[in-house]
Amino acid sequence: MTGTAIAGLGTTELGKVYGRSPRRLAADAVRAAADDAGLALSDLDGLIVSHGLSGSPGIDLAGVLGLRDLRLLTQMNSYGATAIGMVSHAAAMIGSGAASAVACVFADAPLRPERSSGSAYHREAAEWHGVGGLQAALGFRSVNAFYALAARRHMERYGTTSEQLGAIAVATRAWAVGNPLAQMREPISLRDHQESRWVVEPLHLLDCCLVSNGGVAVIVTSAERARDLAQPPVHVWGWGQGHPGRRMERGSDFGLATGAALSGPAAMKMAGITTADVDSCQIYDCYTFTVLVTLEDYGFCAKGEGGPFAASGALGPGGTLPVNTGGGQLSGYYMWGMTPLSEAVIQARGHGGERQAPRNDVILVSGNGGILDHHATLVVSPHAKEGP
Amino acid sequence: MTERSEGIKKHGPVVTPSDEGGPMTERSEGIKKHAPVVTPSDTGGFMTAAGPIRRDGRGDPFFDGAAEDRLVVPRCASCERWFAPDATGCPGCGTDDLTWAEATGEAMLVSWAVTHSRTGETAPLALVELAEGPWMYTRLETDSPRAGLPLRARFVHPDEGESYPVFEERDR
Repeated sequence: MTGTAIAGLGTTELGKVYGRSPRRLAADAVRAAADDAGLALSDLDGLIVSHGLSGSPGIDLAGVLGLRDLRLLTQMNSYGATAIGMVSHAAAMIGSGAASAVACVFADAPLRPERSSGSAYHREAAEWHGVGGLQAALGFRSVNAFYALAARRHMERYGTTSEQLGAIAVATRAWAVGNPLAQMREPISLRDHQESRWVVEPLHLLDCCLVSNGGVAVIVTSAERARDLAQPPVHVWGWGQGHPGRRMERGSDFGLATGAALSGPAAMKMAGITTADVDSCQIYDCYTFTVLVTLEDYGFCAKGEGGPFAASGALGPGGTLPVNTGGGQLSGYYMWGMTPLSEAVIQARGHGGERQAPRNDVILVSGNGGILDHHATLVVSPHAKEGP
Repeated sequence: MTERSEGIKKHGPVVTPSDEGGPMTERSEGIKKHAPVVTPSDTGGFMTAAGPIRRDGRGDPFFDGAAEDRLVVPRCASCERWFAPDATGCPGCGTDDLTWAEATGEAMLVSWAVTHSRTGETAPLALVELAEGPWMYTRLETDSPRAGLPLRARFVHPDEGESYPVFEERDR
């Protein structure tokens, strides 16, 4: 199968960007990505559009962009795992010869002027309906509550502490300081983390990611073609997904393990690497806890050791395993799976500026969706994969 | 509490209000107020549900039971499996024809959390495992939460709206 590479990255303004619909943001991102690659829109023969939550575009985006005679056009959804799903689907289609240059795009605009970010994904009602409504009435108003339950279970089982989660927030912010795209660039201390207000205990405000408006797109093409384009190719070495289908009943491993345990080894096997080969990780960090449990499931530390591993300082600048070198979703920007993917592209190109990690030969990227229900992993590199 | 067992892998209805794999809340730097761990004894008015609960035709037996201090949940008669109140089918045999049956009301604590409102109110949330096996999202009443804590259902009968269960420490 033909090797594939990410040849273009397009990013709109991110954060409190108002007045542009998700459709418009998506179109802008695709144009920017094609331009970044040195391609015209007419060079694209594939478009994959991510599902979003606030009126995201569908396959009608092709018409908005004026794309014609596409050989691949679809919308995909595995929530936070979609970005990697799009890139791996594009790579497989290109590898098979069914398409040659595919744009993959995510855009969303949950933020509204004069409304708090918290309200973007928060349920309120004067009265509640049925057994589903009861749950919300009792206080399960947003996804925060479910991740808090997951984190608490891990704490109970393995002794993980809030301070250990805080170490992830602090390390991630330290990376964000060097990223001009990041929304939060003031350094924070562990004390800042501990003193930030509770959202849902055991999660402090600084355990939770941002909310952002914006759009991000990448262009996937063959490794051979990418060599002649405008940017250094970011070669796709391997991918995997993991959807455990966990049932919430006796015996469930909710909060203790995730689909990363399935997805990570699959991606690394396809890439021909092990965790020892990984130079940096771009981990889906909707919460600090998500990073901790994902690193465990990938095998960067033993199960239950994620807390001490994070507290050791390994993840921040100067650490042994740079994680979320652009500030992730916690401090950078919340573009679902496009946040870790975009930083991986920047790092693989060596364009990280003052935040460029010391080595970039192998970069592991993750996506996570639902309440730790869906996972995807991608391995990228500035080097062409040595073929079997 | 058992853990990490393989269980049943088929996918069933997932009990989440939101699926995007992320949160979230306002990001304001510099909020320094530290809130202590909150126990149910000091949760004030937020302990009861916010706003009345109305029937929607789907879980009426659950509410009928709650009105009589009984925990009634869905059950698959052929597989002899019990489910959380909002289940819509049995992943074991595929039927969507679940019956309703009275559970013992005994449970144990799987995990818990305390949600904080913007106005400083708090509410203790719980994920509990019913003695019959299914997990349920509910409110928690205990001063000393820990994984595995034995619980039992207690029923709240608000002036307006449907009755509902919360879970309290069994041996207190």
